[in-house]
Amino acid sequence: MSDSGFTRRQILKAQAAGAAASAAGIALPASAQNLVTDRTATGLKWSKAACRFCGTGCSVMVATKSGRVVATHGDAKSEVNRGLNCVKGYFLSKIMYGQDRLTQPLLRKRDGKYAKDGDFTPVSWDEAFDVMAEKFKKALKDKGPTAVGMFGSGQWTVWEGYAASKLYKAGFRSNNIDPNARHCMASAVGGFIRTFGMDEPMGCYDDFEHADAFVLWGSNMAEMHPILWTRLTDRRLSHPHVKVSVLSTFEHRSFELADIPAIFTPQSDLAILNYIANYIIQNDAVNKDFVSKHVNFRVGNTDIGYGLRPEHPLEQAAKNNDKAGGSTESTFEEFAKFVSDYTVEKAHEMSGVPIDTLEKIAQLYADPNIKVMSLWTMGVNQHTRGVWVNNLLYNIHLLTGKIAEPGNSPFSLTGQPSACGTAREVGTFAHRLPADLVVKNPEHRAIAEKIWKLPEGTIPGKPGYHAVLQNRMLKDGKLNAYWVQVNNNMQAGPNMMQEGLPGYRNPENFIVVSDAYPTVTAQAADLILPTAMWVEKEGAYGNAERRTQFWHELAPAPGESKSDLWQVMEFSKRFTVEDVWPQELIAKKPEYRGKTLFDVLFRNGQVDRFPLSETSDEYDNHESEDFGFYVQKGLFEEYASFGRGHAHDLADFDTYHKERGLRWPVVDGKETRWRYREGYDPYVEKGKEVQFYGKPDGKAWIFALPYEPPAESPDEEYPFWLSTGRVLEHWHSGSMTQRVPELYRSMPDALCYMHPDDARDKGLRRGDEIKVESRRGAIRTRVETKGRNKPPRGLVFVPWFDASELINKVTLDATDPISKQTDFKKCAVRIEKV
Amino acid sequence: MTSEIHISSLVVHVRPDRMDAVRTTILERGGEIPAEDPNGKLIAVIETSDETGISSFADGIAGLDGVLSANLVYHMIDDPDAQAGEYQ
Repeated sequence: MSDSGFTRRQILKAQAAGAAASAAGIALPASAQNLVTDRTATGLKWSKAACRFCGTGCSVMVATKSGRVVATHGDAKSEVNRGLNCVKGYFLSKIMYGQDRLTQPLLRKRDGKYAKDGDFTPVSWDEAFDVMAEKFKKALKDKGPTAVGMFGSGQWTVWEGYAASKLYKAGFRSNNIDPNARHCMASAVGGFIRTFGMDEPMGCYDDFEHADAFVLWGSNMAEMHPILWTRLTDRRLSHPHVKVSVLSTFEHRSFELADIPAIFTPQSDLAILNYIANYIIQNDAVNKDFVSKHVNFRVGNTDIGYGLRPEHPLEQAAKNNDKAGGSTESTFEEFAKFVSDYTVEKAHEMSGVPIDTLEKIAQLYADPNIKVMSLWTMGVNQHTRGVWVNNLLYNIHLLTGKIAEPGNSPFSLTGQPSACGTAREVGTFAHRLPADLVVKNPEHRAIAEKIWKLPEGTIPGKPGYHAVLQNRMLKDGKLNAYWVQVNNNMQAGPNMMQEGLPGYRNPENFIVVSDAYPTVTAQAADLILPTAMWVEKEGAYGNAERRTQFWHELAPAPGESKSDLWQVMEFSKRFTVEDVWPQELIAKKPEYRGKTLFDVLFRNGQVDRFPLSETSDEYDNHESEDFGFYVQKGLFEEYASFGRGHAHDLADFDTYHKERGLRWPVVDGKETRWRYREGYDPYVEKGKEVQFYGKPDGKAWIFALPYEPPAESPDEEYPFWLSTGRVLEHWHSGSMTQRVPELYRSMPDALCYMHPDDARDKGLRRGDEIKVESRRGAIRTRVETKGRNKPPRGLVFVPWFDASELINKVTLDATDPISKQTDFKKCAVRIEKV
Repeated sequence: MTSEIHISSLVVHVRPDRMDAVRTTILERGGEIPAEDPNGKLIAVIETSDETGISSFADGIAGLDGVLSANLVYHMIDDPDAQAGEYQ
């Protein structure tokens, strides 16, 4: 016993209790408060970082000891997670230390030379880049810029995405760069741009503490966004008047808290949302003042197809698949007449949701005294009418004026840590440039060319191949040199046997995959580059509420691993402008003659503006040491110049290393919590109250859009709906989390969740091995009739994290024709015992 | 030979009507409850010999009837050499 009378163990437990009580907002008994928290006793160095996993953007404290990350805990100073951490975040320290971590480049070789059918052989970075550059140059020479491409990620740090986008769009002059965020957020983006003319939510997480009602549209926040779910739960439990409604095609963990639960037939969300708009109008609940001042009405084009290959019968039959995003002017009266078809009876008939439940949900929106937060993710976005569903959600918030103020918030959640910060804000999509600029607009290209100091006409005006199209073009032999970073698309992409793998293994193509682990995608490649991950490099992510967060390099990467940023910049040294640009373009900037793409893109007097001396003394920075200047700061500041003064303002670089993130636009050092609302958003003109300034007249658009059927529905031959998704313990394809033994053990193999009566009718018992088969392929898995996911009759749910049971052999590559995002939630399958 | 000691804490959100049952289960499974809020929050502190013990405890609690969420907050692996010593 010490003088204080406490053992060491008691002290440590009191520290643990104190951190939890503080995170939960509970006072500890006085006796426990007397125990002093003393971190110096542990010998660990603690630094802040943004969590590596989902789009919530939790801040975590990371402890290192002898160059290794040894512990993490929730950051009590973070406004996002307030000291909490989900199971995935808790084991962050382990994702970097899987036994099969890649540590050197691997090239397929036979007889000492590269061969498509060779075996993976360790090579030097020099040899790897030599072969890679030769293949890229050949593709560029033979077929031009459209023959090279890249598939990136919402897990890229801000500057990694920026550098890659610049190398492709400005260097190689190819717009064939797209992020895996296409599978995840493209429909959300489409919805934002169509309705508001500007991407990303107007509200923020502070809405959780102001709302009186929460409506989850398909989202299973309890498992997918556990920390935000905790904030929502806190609000519900501490304020008894608060109501929670959960809508989904099957019952899941979030239903535990649901006051108004609703299971609906897949695709009928379109009908339910139109019914709610109709209810609002019929019950005189339209906020007429708001609508007259801030809203325009449009009729969207219909019969827009399913984003399949043009020869598919569904595309042949569709009238407007070439102008899917089009719309015409309309009026409130026409809109009211349009939605009047969507009666409660019709919505009930189409969705299977009881009439009184539908009315209860509609009342939450219609009652002017209830502040409503709507929340959604993949259920809405991975939908062949995903942009429409986003539009219809905004419709009901706009009709009632319940938007852009505390607690009234249509909120599109994201799945990846920097889907917003990198994929969307940096604009790493095939059609985008930074800060909501797009390649097809000549004025926008001119802005980018000016900032990037490029000759006029460098950036091509035609959007490049999007995610699903990249796979098709690889298969068809039109895209021949291809680089994949920070994603596992062979496992994550749809219809892999017919569209994914044939393209990677097409003898005409050379496929490079940068990853930390030998994923399914890496194994399908020709060259694998070992990659530094997360806190092995200085990084920045942007979360779902527009919050940009930074971290320092906290631990060295193993072996010869290098960050994606280093790989992109180093590779750019292998090309001279003469290799990639036509003479007439070079003639406009003769001073670029003989220079490398590295010189033109990164040694341009801007990116190399900040000397090494400005990097932190406390932390390493491998890229900056290698290139001789503060790489991350130079890239960030150049990138930020796109958005400053244009409602995408970011703070200066150094500020982010001090703050727990800031929500853009950051003007005069102040972040913006609610956009478009006077008093909160400095971009709203005085006296306007609300201004949707993404549109020229400041008015958002309400769209008349009907129910249209899904691309494939169950029939006699394939009688079940198949929905895919994630589970709590695993994140996306499991390439990181399946290396954490604790996570793997708790949920080792994917299961097929089905209704017990469906199982009984097929003579199946829990645990039986089955075949799940569609028109495209089949997998074997096991039946689960209990547990956390409870599908209704006629629907099965299979998570997609398990590399040994690839459900994407079964899914259909139908996409939203506007957003090009795949619908992973609906196709038809049959189930057979094996 | 010494073994590691892992000390960690969780915030458990519970439907208020299930507080008693969940509290009992946490105590039965070796957790301590240094603080709680009658609106549906419990603080649990556990001591295990490895990380697996923590995740199976957390999963087990998360799966209980009425538990809305169980999030980890703090974790430390104590230095075995320090176990015998006293805190000064």
